[in-house]
Amino acid sequence: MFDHLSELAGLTFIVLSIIGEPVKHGKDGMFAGTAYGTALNDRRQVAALDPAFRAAPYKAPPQAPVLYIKPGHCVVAGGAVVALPAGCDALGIAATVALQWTVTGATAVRLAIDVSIPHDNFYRPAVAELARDGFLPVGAAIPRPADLDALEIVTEIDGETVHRWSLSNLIRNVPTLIADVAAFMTPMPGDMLLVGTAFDRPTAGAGRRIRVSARGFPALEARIAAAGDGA
Amino acid sequence: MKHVRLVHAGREQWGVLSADGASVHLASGHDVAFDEAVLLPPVTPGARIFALGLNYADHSAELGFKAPDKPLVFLKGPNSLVAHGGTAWRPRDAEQMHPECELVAVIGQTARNVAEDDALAFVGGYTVACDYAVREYLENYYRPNLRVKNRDALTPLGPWVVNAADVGDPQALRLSTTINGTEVQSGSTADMVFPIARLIAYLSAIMTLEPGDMILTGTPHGVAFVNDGDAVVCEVEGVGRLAHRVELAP
Repeated sequence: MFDHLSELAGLTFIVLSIIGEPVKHGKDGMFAGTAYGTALNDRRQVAALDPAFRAAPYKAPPQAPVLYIKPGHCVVAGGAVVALPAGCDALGIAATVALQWTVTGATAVRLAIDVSIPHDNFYRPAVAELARDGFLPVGAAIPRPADLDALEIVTEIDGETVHRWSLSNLIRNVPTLIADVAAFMTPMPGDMLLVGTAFDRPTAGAGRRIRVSARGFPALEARIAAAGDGA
Repeated sequence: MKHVRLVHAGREQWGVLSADGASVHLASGHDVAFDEAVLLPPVTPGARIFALGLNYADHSAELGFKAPDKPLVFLKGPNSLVAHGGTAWRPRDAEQMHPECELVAVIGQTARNVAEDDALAFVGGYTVACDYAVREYLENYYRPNLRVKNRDALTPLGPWVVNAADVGDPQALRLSTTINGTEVQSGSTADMVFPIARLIAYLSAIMTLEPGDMILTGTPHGVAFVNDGDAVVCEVEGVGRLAHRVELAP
């Protein structure tokens, strides 16, 4: 299996190098954990949806953190190409911060792009929409700053700033989120926890180049490719 | 052939269970008595763990749901797993924690856009899981949510992975759960709404399945709550008998 994978990775690298798009992939060994995402942690999103969340099928607003899983296979390094699934014209591009667990705890952070197939139903787990191959480009990990509450994350598409989002929008800020998640599960060294996503995240179609930046963080880039191209 | 993952002489190892079940033969040449082995869940590190909700019509009816029109898939993290002989923790503020005996299919080769007719060939082996749920924590967001299904040590899994070739037809196996010797679940994998081959076809259309990935295929009817000190056994005919204890969380 590993021989085949490395052959395949090498071939992909050669092909994409010819068209000027070097690929770095999570399976190179930089990431071996599980990534957990946090949904419905944007104050304005939950306020806007409050009437819907009091009706069926939800019946009550969310109480505990609403988490989802992006398995390690979703994770790709900065510069990666994310393929549009067949039949999908544009992907949700949610720039966020990933808390990175190390042997000494949640001591590191990275920029991350939580890629999704746009969906507005939160009733059932959105595995098909959230957990596809390559749907979590991440930047390099740096030490976690003491306070992330005012961090602004900027998303550019093809060089134009299309979205700005501050972690001051989080319902559960970083320390609260860590504590509320720890009440029922223990992230392990290697695991990541995405702190939340903006309700008004942009979308991007084939060929678009994404760049995500935030003060003090190494910038993160990714490109969206047509179905079957570069996946 | 039954493949066991364990800790021996200070490191994680895999071994093969002897024909009489008494010992595990390690690649290093050592033999370890099965009853004394420090078992781990027989999981490939980094593998994805898929689980199915409402995949037996009788269990769906019991919970007041219609069987879904597409597989209700959710994911689990490795923090949730605990080995045969281990302990599942019942939260102190919840009483409605119930065991769910499940057949687990373990992928044996890379699968992408696999046709249902070919899909069983992509299964390398099978094991058994007890996919507990804690009903007090159910909320209607990404249900079943992680607080219900992804608590630490909430999912006993094992004792081993048995080769698919040794199991025969995976859709004709009896499953059962006992609590302190009393049967609380009894069913047949023949009653899955989405059989294993269809689940593999469905999942492999969404993402690339890799060797080691596991699919917990859902549970038949029978909702019984566990208490501190209970001895629970989940058994799937021809695959294995998975035993564990329940204790109150510290």
